Amino acid sequence: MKYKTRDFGEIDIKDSDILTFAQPLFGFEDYRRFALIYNHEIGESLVWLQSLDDPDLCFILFDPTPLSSFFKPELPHWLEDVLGKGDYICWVLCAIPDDIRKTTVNLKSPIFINPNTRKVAQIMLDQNYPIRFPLIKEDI
Amino acid sequence: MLIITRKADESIIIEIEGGKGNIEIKVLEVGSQIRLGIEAPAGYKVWRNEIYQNVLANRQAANSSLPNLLDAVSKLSEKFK
Repeated sequence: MKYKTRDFGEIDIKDSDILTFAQPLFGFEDYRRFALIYNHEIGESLVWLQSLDDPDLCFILFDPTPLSSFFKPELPHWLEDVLGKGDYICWVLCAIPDDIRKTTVNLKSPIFINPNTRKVAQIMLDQNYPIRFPLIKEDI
Repeated sequence: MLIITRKADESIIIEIEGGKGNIEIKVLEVGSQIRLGIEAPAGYKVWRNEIYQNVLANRQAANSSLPNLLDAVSKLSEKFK
């Protein structure tokens, strides 16, 4: 089915690619259906999380693998009840200001996706990670 | 900061000017934790502060919509290839 997106015009998204927030994004409780949009020029370290209910609602997610020396999220034991059994993929939300060197990511409350059930949850970790962690250390 | 002492079952009222109704915060239980009951008129959202900080961050993230966002994201992704 075709969906309008904020940054890529109208694109085709298969039903089997639709993600459903079982535990919604904080402050966006009315928005449950999203899809990940990859851009081949960008690669897979950053991805668009596009709402399928509101074309204007879109987030940029970052794969936190490069931060794994200190970012080791401990999943709450009840997450399996929310997302179903399986392995989860962790993303963090980017806040990209006009000056992109000041881009931050939310390490306190990552997003976990279960690719098998296509259920998603934003989880506030018990660990003391920053909500606004600067992604860029030097000038780019 | 206004500091008020209250016992269980006592409450405070926050009056909203302009006849928009009042917010009542009632102490239900005290101990090592306290339980609060909050009544607010429509249009007022009540959050736990630590959740609210994430709400603010999420709203900020949803506004990451520069005219040249694709270019910005491309530059960011170069850092992590």
